[in-house]
Amino acid sequence: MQDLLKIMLVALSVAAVHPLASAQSLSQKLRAEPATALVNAALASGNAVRGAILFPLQKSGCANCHAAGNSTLLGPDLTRLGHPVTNESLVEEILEPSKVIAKGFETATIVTTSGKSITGRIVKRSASEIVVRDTSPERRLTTLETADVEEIAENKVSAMPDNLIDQLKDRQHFLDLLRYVMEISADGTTQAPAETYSRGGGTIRQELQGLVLLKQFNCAGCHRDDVSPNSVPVNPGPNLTWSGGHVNPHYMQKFIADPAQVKPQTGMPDLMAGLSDEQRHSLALELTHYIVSLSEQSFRKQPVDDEAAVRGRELFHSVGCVACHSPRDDAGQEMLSKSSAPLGTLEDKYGIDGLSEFLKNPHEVRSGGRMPSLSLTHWEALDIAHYLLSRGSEDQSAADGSFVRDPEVAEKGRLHFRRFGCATCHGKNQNHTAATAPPMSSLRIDQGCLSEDVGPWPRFDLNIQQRQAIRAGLSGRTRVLSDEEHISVMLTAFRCANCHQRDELGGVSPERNPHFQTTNPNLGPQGRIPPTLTGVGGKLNPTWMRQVLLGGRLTRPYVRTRMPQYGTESLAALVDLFQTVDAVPEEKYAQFKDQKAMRTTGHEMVGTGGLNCIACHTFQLKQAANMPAVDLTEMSERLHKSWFYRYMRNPQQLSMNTIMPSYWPGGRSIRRDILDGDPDRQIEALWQYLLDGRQARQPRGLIIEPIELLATDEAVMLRRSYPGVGKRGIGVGYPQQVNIVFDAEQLRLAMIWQGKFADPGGVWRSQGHGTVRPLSRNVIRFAPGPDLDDANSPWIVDEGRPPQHRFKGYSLDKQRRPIFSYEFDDFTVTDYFVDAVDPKSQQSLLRRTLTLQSKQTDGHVTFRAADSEEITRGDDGTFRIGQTLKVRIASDQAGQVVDTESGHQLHVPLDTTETSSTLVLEYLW
Amino acid sequence: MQLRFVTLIIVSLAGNLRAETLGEYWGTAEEEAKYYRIVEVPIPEGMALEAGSFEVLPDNRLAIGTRRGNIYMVNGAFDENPRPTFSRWASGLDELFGLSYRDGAFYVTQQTEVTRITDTDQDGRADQFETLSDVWGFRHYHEFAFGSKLDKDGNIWVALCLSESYRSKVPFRGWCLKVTPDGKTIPVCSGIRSPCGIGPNEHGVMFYAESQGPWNGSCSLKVLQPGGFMGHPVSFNWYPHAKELGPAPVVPNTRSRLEVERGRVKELVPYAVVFPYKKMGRSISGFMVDKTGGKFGPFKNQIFIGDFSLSVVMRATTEKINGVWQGACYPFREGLATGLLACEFTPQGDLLVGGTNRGWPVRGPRPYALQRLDWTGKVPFEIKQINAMPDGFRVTFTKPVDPEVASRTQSYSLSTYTHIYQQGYGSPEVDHTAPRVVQADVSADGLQVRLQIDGLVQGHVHDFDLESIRSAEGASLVHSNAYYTLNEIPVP
Repeated sequence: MQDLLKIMLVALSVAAVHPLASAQSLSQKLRAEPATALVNAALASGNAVRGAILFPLQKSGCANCHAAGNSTLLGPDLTRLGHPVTNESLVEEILEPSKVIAKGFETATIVTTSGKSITGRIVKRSASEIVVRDTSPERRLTTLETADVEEIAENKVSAMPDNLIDQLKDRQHFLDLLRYVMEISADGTTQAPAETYSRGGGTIRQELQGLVLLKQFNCAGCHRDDVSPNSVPVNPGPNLTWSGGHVNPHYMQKFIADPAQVKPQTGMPDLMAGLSDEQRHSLALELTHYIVSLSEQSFRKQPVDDEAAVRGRELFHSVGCVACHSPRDDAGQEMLSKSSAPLGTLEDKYGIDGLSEFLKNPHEVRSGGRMPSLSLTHWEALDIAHYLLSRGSEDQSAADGSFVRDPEVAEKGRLHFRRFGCATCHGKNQNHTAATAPPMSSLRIDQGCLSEDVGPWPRFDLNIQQRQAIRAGLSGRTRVLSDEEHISVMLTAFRCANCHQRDELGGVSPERNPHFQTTNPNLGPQGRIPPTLTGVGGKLNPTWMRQVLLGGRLTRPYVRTRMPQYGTESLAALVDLFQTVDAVPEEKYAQFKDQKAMRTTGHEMVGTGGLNCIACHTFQLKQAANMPAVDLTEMSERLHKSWFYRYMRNPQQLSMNTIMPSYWPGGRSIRRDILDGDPDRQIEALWQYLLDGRQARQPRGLIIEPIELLATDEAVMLRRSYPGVGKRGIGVGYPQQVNIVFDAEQLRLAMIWQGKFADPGGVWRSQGHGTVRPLSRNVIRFAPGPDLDDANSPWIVDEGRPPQHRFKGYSLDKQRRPIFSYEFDDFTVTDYFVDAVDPKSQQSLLRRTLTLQSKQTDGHVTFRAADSEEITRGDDGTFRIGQTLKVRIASDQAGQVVDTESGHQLHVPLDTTETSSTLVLEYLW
Repeated sequence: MQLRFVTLIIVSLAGNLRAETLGEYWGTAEEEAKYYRIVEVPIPEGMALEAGSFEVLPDNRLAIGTRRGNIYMVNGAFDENPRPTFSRWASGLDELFGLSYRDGAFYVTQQTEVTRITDTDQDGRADQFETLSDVWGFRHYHEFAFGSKLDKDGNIWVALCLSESYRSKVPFRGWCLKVTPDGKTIPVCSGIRSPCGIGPNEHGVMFYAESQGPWNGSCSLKVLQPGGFMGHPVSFNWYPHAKELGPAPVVPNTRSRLEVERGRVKELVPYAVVFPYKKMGRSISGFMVDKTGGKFGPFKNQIFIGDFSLSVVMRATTEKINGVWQGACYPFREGLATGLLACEFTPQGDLLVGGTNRGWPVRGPRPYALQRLDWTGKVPFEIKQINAMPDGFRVTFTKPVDPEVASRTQSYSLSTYTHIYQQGYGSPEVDHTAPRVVQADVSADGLQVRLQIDGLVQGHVHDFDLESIRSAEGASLVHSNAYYTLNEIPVP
């Protein structure tokens, strides 16, 4: 197990190590061997599981271009090579890729009429367009109009580098990889996947787009929605009670007076058509006074903190804001404003507090959920607010935001508010609007709000496409959406499709692609691009999906773009819709009798001895060596079993971006020694294991970080169980690299060693049933029983608690070294170990000072300083204890070597005729 | 020999637990979040904060005692948007499941002992550790010790876990001992199995949280009645060391019922609040009474208790009927990030929770977490409390009910059951009955309903399902279940 882990870790760092290895590279050496020899060696000793794990690693890079069951990648789908494959030819193709390039996988360099040049593989070619997958790390798909193509030059050299194999550690790794590739390409005729990937990027039909806009502009506020009332939740205007306290009144006034001028594309209509600028201005002022009066808070501006703004910029461009809003350049200029949701001049509108509050909890202000919550912490929201407001307001009147309330003006404003019907969109209860205007089905679609005329109707800032879409939507007339249409309308309305692809619809656009980031590049594109929604209802359990959509539950911590939250009920309908539309029939599952046995087998398969899932998958938040792939302990909670079966059989077929290797290529297991190699039973065993969820037993190979307790400039201490010491051990590591365990139950020095202190893993992991392990092989242990005892009665030598001794605790000196304190009979005892360096030997030593105090003065007590099989008295006055340790009595008492059953003990009889006596011992090496 | 035995126990325990799944979620987290928000109290990167006990200091700092034996001082944990700073005040101790502060000294309960800890040189780190009592035996890692905060007389009550589930091999395993300020140690009662929390109930009487296992069909809150017997008889061997408590009680019969054995074993104290297994946690843990005076919402003076396995917080209320403690438990908040061991109310009236998911199966995925439940100020529509009446129950709600719905008897679905009282591990729910609500009278303010019931069963858990009840505004209950343990029916 450890070997494999080591190997995989090495595999990650091969590039750095390799150049030093030898003059001849691995690929050169391998090319010198006959292909047959390599094939035979792979068959004899290649480990396909290890190969499967090497295959997707970034360093070897196979999965960047090749996959099983995905035909649009840069390299051939290895399960369907489409030409006669022998194992020998595979060796050749890996070692000399350019010798024979698979048909259709030649790379070409295409020069466009505008002079742009793209190198890649042509995946589709028709009369009108050419689709190229380029060789950039992103492997981007580009569609070119045939008319724009100036020249296509086919390349003679394969896109696969000749020396790719040099990324591997050694010949064995090559054999492992070869063995795996032999497995997946074994029959070369695997049937084509039923589903082929759509490129996405599509949008919904115009009339559906119209339905989205009808809700977005809250048309049902005035027109009863008899067209498609339940397609999407409506989008009311902001909660003005909040705005009154958080939006700059000067901005508010300007905005009300001419909404589209201040914020192009706003959903707020102009209600004052036909009025003069002066009239607009004064009405807007009165309305502003009214709105401000709704809040007890007053707008305030705060200074921008430049450091926070820097953090905010990073957050803005990574957590997901720019999936809908425009990314900004260094100067703060929007780069994609045309295709983005507008922000307007936030500097004029908000203060830091107001904007951060809105970002933290947007649904309090905008209940329609179009602006989702990105689960920002208070501090993240502040940082983003500092960034978005960092340019400062250019509007002088808005600069300080001060505003004097005037109740009389506000009262006038209140009357306008009623007159204009502002509450239609800004009221508390959106469902009880007067709906005075004609119902939607009877609207004349070229008049009123949908015309460009000015009249007694609200004027929305619609562009021509929007107008046409709304007209198309209205002409649908009380049509009932199919479930799939309903889904795509929802995905569009809430801009889910900006990040997620579902069949033809949506997906990350090329220009926003760079802003989708990952914490771990080893995962490839799946590490940063939000997962596909194609078939998602057949994949995820409804409970899980609800928790993700509405409860903020996440399982891909490596995707830096956060899954937004849209408010409790906005998206709830999607859960059922997905489940209905995407339902797939149950698979035929493997039958078994003994569930426990299956679970045990599954446990073995997940570990290093089986399919080694643990090499890449997180287990209970503990990251694997290679990459943080989805947590194994959440699989069964997330997934439908049928999906799990299908995915296991052919991962790329269901998930385009996955780098999960196929362990059952062509329906054959690469581990034929487990469960007779039966794929279904193997998959079932995994599932049975995963069903245990959080309770699943830790698989073999889970990396456990070592813990070490070390003394540096102070003593370190841990009261726990030590080997051979009861449960009341007190271990102390001293800065001079000497260590003891004091037994607080028996009041004795139990262990002593030089070197590093201890590994507490045995008591700090799992239930804590182990012991603290001293980090030395040369630990000296002393016999049970207390160190201080009555000289006239037999010495206690059992492991129990001595009846006359009572531990009283300890105090710490300035270096955190304990002074133990206990009582024995009538004596009060302190026992104090201090580390030092022996001037003679330059070795560290422990000086132990024992003090006794007693009211009585006629005791006969003896102190046991050490014991061993052999104790001899040295010439220098020290006692040699066994092989390595010496004890010197530094005070004026005399030691005696006493025979015991098991060897010798060093005793120091103590004179207790004084009320206080002191014994000083030195333990030396 | 010792080691081999330990290994066997671990294997069998693990086997036991694996046979079960963690159970279903209540499915209420989304709704709960509207009323009680989970606030993350960030822990410094790399700090293994396995909180086992909390204390709030007079200067508004938080003290945390951990399983790894550290005491941390935390500044800023109570701030609305916490960004706390941590400093280590003491270290090297052994599983801190009891932390109490008075007059400049901490009184901590660790596996080995009760210790008085002070910082005599005032340098911000402890330097004096006085052992107040270590009289109990400690020879097995599972012999956990849970200590109360100081009671009004300055005593620490310590609940001592058995050696394993089935033995009491060294002194006072399975007992509660009371340690006085001068270190005198007084046996209180026997019969404990595996405690995971200890403290006063809302009436100031000392209780502890017991886990499901031998002689405990399900988890329960029990009163630590002096001279009483908490149900697991294996600790009777220490009565000779507790002369003041007299001879050991009669040994209860296994495969019986608690209600039956109460008649035979006069010291046996009925389990006050039974938490039906999986429905209401699997390993109930540390608990605190809401003394915030309403800052934590409508449940003032109620018990809030965590669960280690399911990472949930629940509520409980108790009352003394015919001289016997009993009461009810209610779901409260699920979705905490780790296995909960301890909780504490902050001066601001928020509930701080923490723990670890180490060693046993836990739903919360994080190895350690410090989180806070903050009341949003919105009152949830909940069953506030259930009280026993001679002819039924009184159910109190947090908001007025729809009187029409609430006065219909069919709006209430009740069942009762008990557990087998046995030496074997746990118990299924048995002896089910279905009492009938014959009348439901709604109080004038709509906040209470008096239920007259035909078929109360003494000794049974009464399992309430109020799914049909609506508030005056038409809302459903956030949690429609509650569980009352009817040890005694009030005498009219």
